[in-house]
Amino acid sequence: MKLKAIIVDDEPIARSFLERYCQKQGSIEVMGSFPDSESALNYLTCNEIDILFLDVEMPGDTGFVLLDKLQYMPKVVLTTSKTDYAFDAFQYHVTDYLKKPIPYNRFEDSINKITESFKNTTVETNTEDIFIKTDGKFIRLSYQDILYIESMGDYVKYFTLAKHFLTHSTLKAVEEKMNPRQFLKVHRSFIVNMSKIIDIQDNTIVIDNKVIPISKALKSDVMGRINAM
Amino acid sequence: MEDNCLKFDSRLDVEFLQSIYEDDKEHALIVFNQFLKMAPTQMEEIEQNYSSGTVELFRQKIHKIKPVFSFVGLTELTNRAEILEKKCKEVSHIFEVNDLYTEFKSYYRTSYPIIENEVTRLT
Repeated sequence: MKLKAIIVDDEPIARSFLERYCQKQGSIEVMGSFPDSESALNYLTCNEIDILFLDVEMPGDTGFVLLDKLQYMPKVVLTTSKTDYAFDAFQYHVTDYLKKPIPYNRFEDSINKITESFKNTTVETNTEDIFIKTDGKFIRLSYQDILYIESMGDYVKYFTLAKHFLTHSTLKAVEEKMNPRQFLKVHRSFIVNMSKIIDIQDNTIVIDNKVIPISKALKSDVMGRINAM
Repeated sequence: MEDNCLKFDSRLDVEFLQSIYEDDKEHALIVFNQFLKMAPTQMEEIEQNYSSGTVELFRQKIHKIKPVFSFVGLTELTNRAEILEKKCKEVSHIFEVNDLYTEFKSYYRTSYPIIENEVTRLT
């Protein structure tokens, strides 16, 4: 499956270069190219992506301001013609920092690194359980034990009755790994185990005393999946 | 560099151009044409900001065009733009960058026809 990316850069030639590189590299689907932070934010409010190629100095909000406004954090690759932003990049936990003009082999290295990080986050074993990487080791979690999964920026947290486990991933990556018959995304930040739902009221689900919001867009999916009378 | 890489005018940064385009002539033509279309407008905006004396806006425009020169093999112009951009951070009056800016413009004017020739040759 291809990783979804967007490009944010006010320089058209720089955008076209990244589009071409993504096309050539083959594992990335460019969902959109935006000339400023505002238009990118509009897209990201309604759509989830895996990789954000982001310039820093642009008219209007800078790339860092865009990162401040995001409700979740995809893998961020800064693309700028300055090296002065290295410290900020570190503080924002950006995945890579590419100095423009970007040679193709440097771009390819960056994408390989990102692709590997997605692969390494969860290792699927069979249809009954998964291994998740947390605290430097892989832990087996039975699907039956997972109550719900919550997105927390660059991380997701798996909740079971006894414990919770934090792992570096995105909800999108988790969604692709989980058994779709058992798990359902109900909100930008939540995937729930359908068999653990205690009740549904208005736009919320209760699982083990936790009230989980249902997004308006996903409400019909939720209602379509329960055996309601 | 591999033999199947595109050939470019020796006055350009051939090694870098081959590293970004390899054998992709179509892409090179798209970018070179984009450059011919956009660079004069961007240079005009830079000139306007210079004339109005707003150092920071002038610096931002220089910063923005800086990598564009490298995309067409004009690495020397990128380097000159970088020096100019850094100088802008040190000065309070636009006239203090006058010499650097004059050299930069002159280099741009002599480089532009090279790109025009390359587009004709590659087409």
